[in-house]
Amino acid sequence: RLLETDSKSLRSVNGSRRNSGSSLVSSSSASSNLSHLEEDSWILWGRIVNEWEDVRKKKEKQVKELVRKGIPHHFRAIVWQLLCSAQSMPIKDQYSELLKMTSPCEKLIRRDIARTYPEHDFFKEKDSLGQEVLFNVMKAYSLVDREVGYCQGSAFIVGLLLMQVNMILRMCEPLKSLTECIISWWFIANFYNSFPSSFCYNGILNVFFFLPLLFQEHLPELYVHFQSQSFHTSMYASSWFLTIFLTTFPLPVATRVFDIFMSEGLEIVFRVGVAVLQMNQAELLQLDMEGMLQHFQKVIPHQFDSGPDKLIQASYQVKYNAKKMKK
Amino acid sequence: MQKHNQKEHLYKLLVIGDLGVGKTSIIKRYVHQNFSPHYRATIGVDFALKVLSWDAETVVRLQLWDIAGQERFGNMTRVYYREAMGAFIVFDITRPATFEAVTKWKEDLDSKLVLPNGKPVPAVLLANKCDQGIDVLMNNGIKMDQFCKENGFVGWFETSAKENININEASRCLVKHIIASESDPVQSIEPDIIKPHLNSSKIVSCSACFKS
Repeated sequence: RLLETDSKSLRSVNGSRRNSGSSLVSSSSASSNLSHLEEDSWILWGRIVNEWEDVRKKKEKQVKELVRKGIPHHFRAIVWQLLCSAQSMPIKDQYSELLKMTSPCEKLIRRDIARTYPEHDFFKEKDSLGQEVLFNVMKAYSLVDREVGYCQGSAFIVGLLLMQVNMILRMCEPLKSLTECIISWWFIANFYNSFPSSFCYNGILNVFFFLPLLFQEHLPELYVHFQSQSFHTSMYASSWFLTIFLTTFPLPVATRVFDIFMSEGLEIVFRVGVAVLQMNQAELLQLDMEGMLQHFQKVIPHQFDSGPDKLIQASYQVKYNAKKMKK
Repeated sequence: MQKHNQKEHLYKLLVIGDLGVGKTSIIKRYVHQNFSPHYRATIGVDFALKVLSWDAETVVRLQLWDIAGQERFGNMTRVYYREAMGAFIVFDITRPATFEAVTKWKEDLDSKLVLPNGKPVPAVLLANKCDQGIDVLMNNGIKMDQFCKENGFVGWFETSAKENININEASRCLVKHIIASESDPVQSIEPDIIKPHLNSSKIVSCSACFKS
């Protein structure tokens, strides 16, 4: 099966990167030697990846816990792919057929490509590899999911997936197009199959109906304040849902939330949302609409720059009734 | 700082128009006096504040609501439009399709929002990216005047966020019309394009809005 051969190739790519790891890692850490902690975590994740089927069946809870602590950077690509358990994927030929077609959303997509991570090295150059691949995946998606087509915000999610595999994309043509094809499949598997209704502007209206219900329960005082100020959920939470916080927080913070999103689904977005509001409740209660808009735009995005652990811990303190939300 | 006899007006202004026409760039230019070709796509809504000393007695606080271009496809615009006093509708002169969408944006606006006196909110049309050297509009000024008249815009400007062209002027035009519609709630002023010669004492003229 293509997926298997490919995950092997991904694994071997990861493996080879690991073996020559010290040179790669030295760019991020001062010393060329891995710390013991990092090494332990690599050994642990290496084992999880190699024995994935088994580990997932027998140690589901432990894997979840580990993901909540953050997947090591070099394992993200493979672990995300395993987590979304793409059982089958459109054959590469089908993907290249899609790219030959014309999508009604093409112009719209094209317009946003340069405006997705405009500061990031992989995407910032006009007609760069990053921009080309991002366009291809968004176009393929728009042809598969004709109802949604293209929804602003989704390119940030695909962009994050591409960042994780950009080393592979840079290698050689067969690997590039295969990886591109897989990325589009991750995306489709996660968003088209799992959350079709929440993943477009019309669908998100449902989310904006649920979210206030959750607030009413957890933050009654703030809920009343928002109501009295006509402060609508969409005014601060659009980016939470349309980009899974990728345009709300800096990437190191948002990527940690995204790890959990890949493993546990949309619930984490609600949890983090409530946690953010709880942590800011005292300030928000003192502010009017204008002040709140500015607080959400200027203060909250950088609240967790020192590390997302506090936010993730707080989000798991939130009592979340999954059954109730499903209704 | 504020003098005792100074009046402060607070106006909420909407900036709407198709995706990628330069709404965010216009606001950043107007509020922060700078430009970057690398702004991120706006998701949902962004917000900025601009304070103008209008005249010796008046300070104007503008709340600028930068609404994502794809919002038209959802029903969210309604909540953003609430209590707005004026709007800029922006299109990109290099892309005719964004001009064709202008009437849809105007209809969306007027169907969801009216002033307390029942009139539509003053709206100014911005033909953005005029630095790109495409002169279609310059030659079609009369057609544009006609378009504004037919679609109920109080004025139009060729703008460039990049070169800082006409953005302050467009804003002064819009604010002037808002103040006029406020001070004369029953008989709000006629757009100049209908009666450009109308310059009587009571009615604020907006001839400055239009290039001759």
